[in-house]
Amino acid sequence: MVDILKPEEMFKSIDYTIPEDRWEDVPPDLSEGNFCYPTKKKNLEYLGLPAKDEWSPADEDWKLPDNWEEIIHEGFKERLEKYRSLKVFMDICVRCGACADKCHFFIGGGDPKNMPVLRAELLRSVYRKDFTTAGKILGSIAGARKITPLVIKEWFSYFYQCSECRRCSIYCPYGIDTAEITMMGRELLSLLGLNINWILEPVANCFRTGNHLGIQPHAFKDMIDFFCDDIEEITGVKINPSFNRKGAEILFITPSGDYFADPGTYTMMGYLMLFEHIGLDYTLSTYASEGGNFGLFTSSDVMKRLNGKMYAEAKRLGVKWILGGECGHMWRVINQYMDTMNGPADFLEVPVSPLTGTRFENAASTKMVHIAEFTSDLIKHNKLKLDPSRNDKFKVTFHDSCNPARGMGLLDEPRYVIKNVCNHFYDMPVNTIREQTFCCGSGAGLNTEEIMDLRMRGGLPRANAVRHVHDRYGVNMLACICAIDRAALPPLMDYWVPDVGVTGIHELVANALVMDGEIERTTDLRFEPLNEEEEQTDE
Amino acid sequence: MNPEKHLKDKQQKLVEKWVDAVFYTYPADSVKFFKNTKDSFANPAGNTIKRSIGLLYAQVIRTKMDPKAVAEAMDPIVRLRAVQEFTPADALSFILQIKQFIKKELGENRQDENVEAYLRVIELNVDKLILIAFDIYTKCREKIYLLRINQAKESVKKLLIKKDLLCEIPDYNPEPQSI
Repeated sequence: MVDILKPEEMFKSIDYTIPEDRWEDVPPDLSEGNFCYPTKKKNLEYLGLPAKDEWSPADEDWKLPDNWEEIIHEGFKERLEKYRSLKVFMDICVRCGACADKCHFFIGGGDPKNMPVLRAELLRSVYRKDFTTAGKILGSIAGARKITPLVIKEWFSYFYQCSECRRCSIYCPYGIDTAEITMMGRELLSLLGLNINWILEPVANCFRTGNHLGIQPHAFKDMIDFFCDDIEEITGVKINPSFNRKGAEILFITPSGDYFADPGTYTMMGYLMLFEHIGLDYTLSTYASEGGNFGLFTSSDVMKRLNGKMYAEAKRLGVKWILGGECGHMWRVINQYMDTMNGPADFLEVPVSPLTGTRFENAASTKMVHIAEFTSDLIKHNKLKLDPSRNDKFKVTFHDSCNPARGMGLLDEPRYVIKNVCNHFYDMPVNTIREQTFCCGSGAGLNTEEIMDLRMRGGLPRANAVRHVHDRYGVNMLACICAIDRAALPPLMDYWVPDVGVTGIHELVANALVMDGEIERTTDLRFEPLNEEEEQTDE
Repeated sequence: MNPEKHLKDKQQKLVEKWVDAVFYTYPADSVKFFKNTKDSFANPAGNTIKRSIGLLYAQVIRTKMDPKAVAEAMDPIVRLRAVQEFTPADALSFILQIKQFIKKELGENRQDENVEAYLRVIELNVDKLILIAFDIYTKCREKIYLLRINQAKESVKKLLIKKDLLCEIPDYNPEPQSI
């Protein structure tokens, strides 16, 4: 028999009240597999950000700059002066614990430092020491602590275990936006050259080539042409979208994931088919070829630079307004930050649907409309001919992507669209959807393969709810409106609920869309038979 | 005495003990949440553990265990612990703890031949449990590595770069280039 503690001995050693180690004394686990790889120096240099020689978070000595304490102190001070909200967030928390059990990383893993209140305390404790009288005098009694290299390591570990999904913030009675605390933590780390490659490489690529992946203009056009060939094969309808066309009414911008990676590519095909069907006067841009904005995960300055590109392009092309694709965090940037960074976009017009005449007052300042709003408006006005039975093999549920849900309140429009293009829709349990939606576990730049364990346990609450509708209703398709979701949810489903696929909602729209002059459809956009019977016959 | 029946009667108490022992493998600050939050959507990990342990207990006390049912009960808890911050041994050590609980429960009757023979069966059952768990754990880890590889493979970036369709940020060269 294995020599283990007897239960009595084990239970005696459980201390439910005060842990033996204070949280400050528990070092972060920075062994391989528990951190995101740091960025390459060239990406930082390209962006003109503080650069750092090659290093690994697993290194004992991170070789911080000599004046690192001063850099952090001054950086913190500057941000406290710049953002009143940060100062309020630092001061106002009463540690009520309402947020403590709302983070998917805590729920799935059980690490107390992933309780949002404690993750914020990592920053708050340093704030108290440096910027409050009580903290300066009373030190740890007032919850203050001096910053050390170990604290920097802790920040790096835990601010990159937060996907900035803001689920915790909706439970905070004071409205503290813990995602913004993470954003500030990451900004401060960035001042020391501490960034992760999965964020900074896309940022650098976006800044240079126009999109996260470094896809150059001619390749972008080739890819879209390739989709048009597929669309023609499936529907018989030939589409010729325009690129960089001056004088178009609308500029359409979507995340690069939609034209680069499956299953996002089918959503891209869906947009193209929809626009063709309604005769939309739009153009694509090879310069503003990215809706995503990884600047949001880096710093406000970088976010502003990347966001500015979209509006500069809209101005250059002389369009009236911008239509945006199924992206997640792009919409948080647009709805919450764009206006005070690059807005208001007065050179554009308040968006009006050319087909229905609907004036999108909610976008009166940003001049940018979410495609789910646009399409639901089309459906509401009977502008689309739809055959939902073409999606009959799918039993669909909808994952409210965090940023459209909590960052702009886009809750009903995607459901309205899905219910009009599919016959089988089942929502997940109420405390896992809409404002309370659970993150995919890979947002805010964490969708990188080296931390797959973290992503799987962070995605558990979402996957668990999917499993419920899968078991109860036979749900086999998870719809979402975010390119990161479309990349992150397939492996998550593969691990936890293997029989469930992932789709964007405009893939479903295009499957159901009866286009003018189309041939009889035999396959869906994935070149798979339209219904299960045909699939089985084929086998 | 009929030890199997006795353990069936004591199921609630022993399952609770076993569940507590699993929760104890997590940081103390998290135990209360895992243990007390009943909503299975708010607390999927805690409720997965409770469900799996309940089902595993029902199997492990049987003189004839159903390996398929054990595997089904074991999968969720092992799948969970395979991606949490445990070493492989720590992830699965909870299985062995049931031996202690059962032995203690039947301790007073160990002179009874029936009980002694039954305990030998339990030993074998727990051994089977751990082997089944080992298979599942290994498959989960293989799956994680496959997902990692797939993400790298599916990104066909390198191919596109070769075909001159993509253009990466050039390598930084501190030496001034002569023209």
